[in-house]
Amino acid sequence: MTVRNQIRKNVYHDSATLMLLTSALERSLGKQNIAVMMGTDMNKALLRDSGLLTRDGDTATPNDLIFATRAESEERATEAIVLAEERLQQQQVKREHASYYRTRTLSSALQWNSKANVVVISVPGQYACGVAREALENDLHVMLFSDNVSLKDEVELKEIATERGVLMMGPDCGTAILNGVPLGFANVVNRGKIGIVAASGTGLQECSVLISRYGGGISHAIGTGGRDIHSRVEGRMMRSALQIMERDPDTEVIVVISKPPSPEALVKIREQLVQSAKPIVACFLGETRSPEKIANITAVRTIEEAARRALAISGIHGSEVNIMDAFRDQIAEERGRLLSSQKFIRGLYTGGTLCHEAMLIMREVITDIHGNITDAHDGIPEDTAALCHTLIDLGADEFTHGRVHPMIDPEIRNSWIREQGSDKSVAVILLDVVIGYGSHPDPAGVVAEAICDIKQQARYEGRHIAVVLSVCGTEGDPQGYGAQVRALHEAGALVLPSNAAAVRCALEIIKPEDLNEEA
Amino acid sequence: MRKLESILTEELQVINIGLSSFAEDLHRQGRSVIQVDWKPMAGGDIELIRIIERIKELQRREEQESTK
Repeated sequence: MTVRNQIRKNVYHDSATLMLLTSALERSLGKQNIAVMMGTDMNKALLRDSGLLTRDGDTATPNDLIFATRAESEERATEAIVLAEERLQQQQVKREHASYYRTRTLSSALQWNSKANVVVISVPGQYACGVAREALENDLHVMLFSDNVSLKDEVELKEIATERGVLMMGPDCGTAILNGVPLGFANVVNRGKIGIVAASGTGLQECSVLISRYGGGISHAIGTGGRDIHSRVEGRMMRSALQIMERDPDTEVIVVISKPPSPEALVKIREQLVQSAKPIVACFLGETRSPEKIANITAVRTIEEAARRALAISGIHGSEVNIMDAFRDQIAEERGRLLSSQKFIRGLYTGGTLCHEAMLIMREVITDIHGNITDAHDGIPEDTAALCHTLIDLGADEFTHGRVHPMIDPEIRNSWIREQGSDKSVAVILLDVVIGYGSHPDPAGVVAEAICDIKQQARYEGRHIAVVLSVCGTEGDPQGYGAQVRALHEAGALVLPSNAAAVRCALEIIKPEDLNEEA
Repeated sequence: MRKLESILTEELQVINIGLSSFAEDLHRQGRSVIQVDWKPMAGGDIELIRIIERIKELQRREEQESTK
C-alpha cells in the first residue's frame, strides 16, 4: 500500500464542498482511502489519525488544498488523485457559470449592491467571528451558520448587533424564514399569521412545516442559534426577535421553541414575554420547572403541540383530529408480524431537535432510553446490539467532526440503519427525513436503499422489522413532499405526518409489556 | 443604525459568504444574492488575522467619526 499527498498551493474550497466530494469519492475508492481537505491543523490531524498524512501534506497551510490517497500502487494513487481533481474541476466550472454576481470580499459585494441587508456566513468557525463583526459594523443583519465560535465572541457579536439595531442569528443557526424567504435549511411554507422564534434548527423547520400542512402559515421565523439561551448570552437574540414579532403587523401569534433556558436567560426572556400583547405559545423542550401561569402564554411540551396550539389560537381548527386513528390497522399489522424476541426501538435521527422531541415522548412510557442526547441514559451503548431502546442524534458533534451533517449527506446514516436493522432484538427502526433547501436533493431515495436492505435481510431470516418515520417538508420544497413519501412507502416504511406521531406509532408497535423490558 | 424590524418589510437582499449552495438556493428562488468566494486572509494565521481585523475596525470607526 502506498500513501500519497498532493498539495495545490493557494487553492481554496469550502469544507462542505470538499467533504461531499470526499464522501462521493469514498463510494468508488473505498472508505479511508481518499480525502480532499484544506490544510488546516484540524484537517491535518484527521488525516494523520486515518494514516493518510505524509510529510508533504504536513507542510500545507490553511490556504492549500490537500489530495490524500491510499492505494495499492503508485499508479492507482495517481488515478485516484486525477479522479478527485476532475470531479472538483467539474463542480468549479458549474459554479463559475452561475448567473449571480461573485466576488472575493464583503466590501466589494457592498459596492455592487449597497442595498444588501442580510449576510449569511458559513466560513470555518475559527474565522467566523471576524467576518460576522465586519458585517454587523456595516449595519447588516447576520445569519451565522458556522459553529465553533466561543461564547465570549457570541456575546460580543450579539452586543454589537443590539447597538446597531440588527439581528445576529447564530452562531450555529441553520434556518430562518424572513419575509417569506427561506434561508439556509428551511422549507417552502405558506405565509400567514404565525411567527416563530427558535433556538433550535429542526424545531423551527418541523413547527413551520406542521403549521403550513394543517392550513396555517408563517409570517416570519427567526433562528437565534442554540446557545442563545445560555446563562452568558441571556437570550439576547431571542429577545430582539420577540421585539420584532411584537411590532410586526403580520404576526398575530408567536411560537417560541428552545431547550429549557438557563435561569439567567429565562428571567430576561420572561420580561419580554409578559410585555407582549400577542398570544405566545412557548415550547421549552424538556422543561421540568412547572410553568408559571401568565395570561398570554400557553406552555406546551412538544413541537407538534406548539404547532396545533398556535393554529387553534389563530382560529384554524381541524389539526386536533387524532391522526393515530388512521394508522390503527397498520400498527396492529406491524405488531402482529413481530417475534416475541423483538422488543426494542432504535431511533436514528439527522435532526437534533426531532431526536430530543422523540426522547421526551418516549420517556412518558419508557424509563430506560440510551443515546447521545441530553437526558439519555448512559450514552450510546458500546455494544450497539445491546438490549435496550436507543435514540441517536447523528448530527451531533461527535459524528460531524470532519464530516458533513447527515441532513446534507444522509448516506452516513445508512450504515447505522443496516447495523441496527440486523439486530434480532429490534422491533422498530425510527427515523426522520428532513427535506427543504439546504438538505440533500433526495434523502428519501438514500434512506430507502437501507430500508429495503434491512427488510430483505429480515425476510431472509424469517422475521419482520418495522420502519417508522416522518418527512419534515412540504410539497413546495425542491424534493417535493409527495415524491419523498412515495419512495419511502415503496421501501416499506410507515410514514406518519409528524415526528411526534411517528414516535407514538413506534411506541404502539412495541407490545406494552416490552416497553420497560430489563436488559 | 437600522430599525430592527425593517428586516421584515424590506426586500431581502443577501450576501452569502462561504458555502455556495446557500447562494444557489436563493438564486433558484429568484432572490437577490451575491456570493463571496471567501478564503482566509494571511494564509489562515489566526493571530495575524486578528491584528488585520482590529486595524480594519479602527479604520472603519475613524471613517464613521469623520462623516458624523
